[in-house]
Amino acid sequence: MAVDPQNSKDASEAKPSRLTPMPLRGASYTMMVLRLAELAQPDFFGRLQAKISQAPSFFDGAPMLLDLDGTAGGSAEDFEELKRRLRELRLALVGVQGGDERQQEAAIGVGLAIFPSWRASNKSTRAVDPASQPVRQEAPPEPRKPLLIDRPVRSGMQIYAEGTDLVVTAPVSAGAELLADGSIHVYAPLRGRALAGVSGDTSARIFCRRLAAELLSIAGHHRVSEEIAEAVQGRPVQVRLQGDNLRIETID
Amino acid sequence: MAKIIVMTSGKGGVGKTTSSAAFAVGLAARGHRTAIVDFDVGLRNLDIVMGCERRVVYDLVNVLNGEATLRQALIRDKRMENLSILAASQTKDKEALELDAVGKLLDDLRKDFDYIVCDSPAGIEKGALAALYYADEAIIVTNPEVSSVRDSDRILGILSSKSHRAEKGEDPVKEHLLVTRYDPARVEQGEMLSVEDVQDILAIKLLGVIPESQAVLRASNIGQPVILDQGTTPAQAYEDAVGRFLGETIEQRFVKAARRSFFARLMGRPA
Repeated sequence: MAVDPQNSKDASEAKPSRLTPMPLRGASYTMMVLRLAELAQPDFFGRLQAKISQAPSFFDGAPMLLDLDGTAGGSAEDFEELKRRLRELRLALVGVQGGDERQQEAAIGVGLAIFPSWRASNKSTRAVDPASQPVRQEAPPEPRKPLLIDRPVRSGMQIYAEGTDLVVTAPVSAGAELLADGSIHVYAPLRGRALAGVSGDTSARIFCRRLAAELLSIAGHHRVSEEIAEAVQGRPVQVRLQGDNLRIETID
Repeated sequence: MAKIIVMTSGKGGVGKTTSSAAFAVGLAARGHRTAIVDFDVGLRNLDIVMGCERRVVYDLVNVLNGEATLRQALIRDKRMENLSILAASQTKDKEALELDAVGKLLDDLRKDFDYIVCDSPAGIEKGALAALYYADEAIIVTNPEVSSVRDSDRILGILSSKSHRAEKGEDPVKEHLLVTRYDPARVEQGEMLSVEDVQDILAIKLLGVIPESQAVLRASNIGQPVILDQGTTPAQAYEDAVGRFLGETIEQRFVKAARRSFFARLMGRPA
């Protein structure tokens, strides 16, 4: 989810301040993690090559993180060598996580970043064993069916469509919250909050029959009811992200 | 099979106790054996509205704790022979409201009564949850006002997820909308939500519309449920609501502002 370090408003709507705004934004991405311990397995690079050839465009230029947990040692030269060999497969080793101070120093020495260790249960990044399927929103092995809700979503309820779209065919009350990794479709009045693409999918959209939402958000870019133009309130709309801006368009 | 009806709202002060009393009397008047239970432990007022506050010996918590039997605690209404009241405790704590004990009490009541009306306290905490947990049907009392509608929506969400029926995957609790304190003149002036507005947001079936009336205050002051104040608009509206609950088709009478006749306006008299 993209996060504006100043406050979570779209850059275009940030209030002008007397200080020059920082040219930096926070962001988070899903990334593949390679466990250094795996290199000890037989024919590591052969197996990695085989995996890549299953979905070449998916892996082309992909950033990779090296997990140092459970290993010791490794000089700057070792990291440089690993970087080079992964570059031959058109993979970009960008950083390391875990490991001791010596290993991290060596990594920094060859221009690798130090990443905080994420738990495997974190939804945004998952440690991936190269011998198993990669986990990334854009190319899942089998698409998950959308989550369908056909009863009113009452105030105080929260629905989360994990890894898929959310379809609601009954009214969504003020005080209710819809979340989806994919898009959100409400074939009824939307009076609550709708947050699509919560794991970072900027292509997610929100659709509804009657816009009266308290808050709309796509991949962390949000807008509250007060900031939504009169012209689209109460109308059937489509909401999508264009750059850093939420675009709300009527569909009639 | 006895039916458990919960009169609930989320919001406080919208007319749950008034409506519980009126409904229970209405059902009893039609020959159904009816019990009414006050779940507002610590802030009881059903006994006042029913006019039996000077006859309370044992209460709901006494029965739940096994300190008294149901027979000892139930108070026979002096006006309706089919009606009995179980008052709440004024001094005890809500902690006594364990769902298992409540379930057992309601099972006991089911043996002797056709309808059990549970008067819920306001809120969504223990008392309100205990009142709605075993309900077969729910009457959602709502004022035509945004906070009340929002709270009613919340309680509907709780009914569909935290009731016994919801947890066991049985048929859902049947939901009815009762709009209270309705003033058609203010609706026409745009000061008050209309019944259609409320229905649009809550999306449940309308049971009745009870007009705002001074008769309600009079009724609670003298301890006589307003449905017995014949001729008043809330009495008529509650009668209609009970009829609809029992399956009759009755047109809504109190949704439009009463039109004053030409002569009435001329003479300065109300319609």
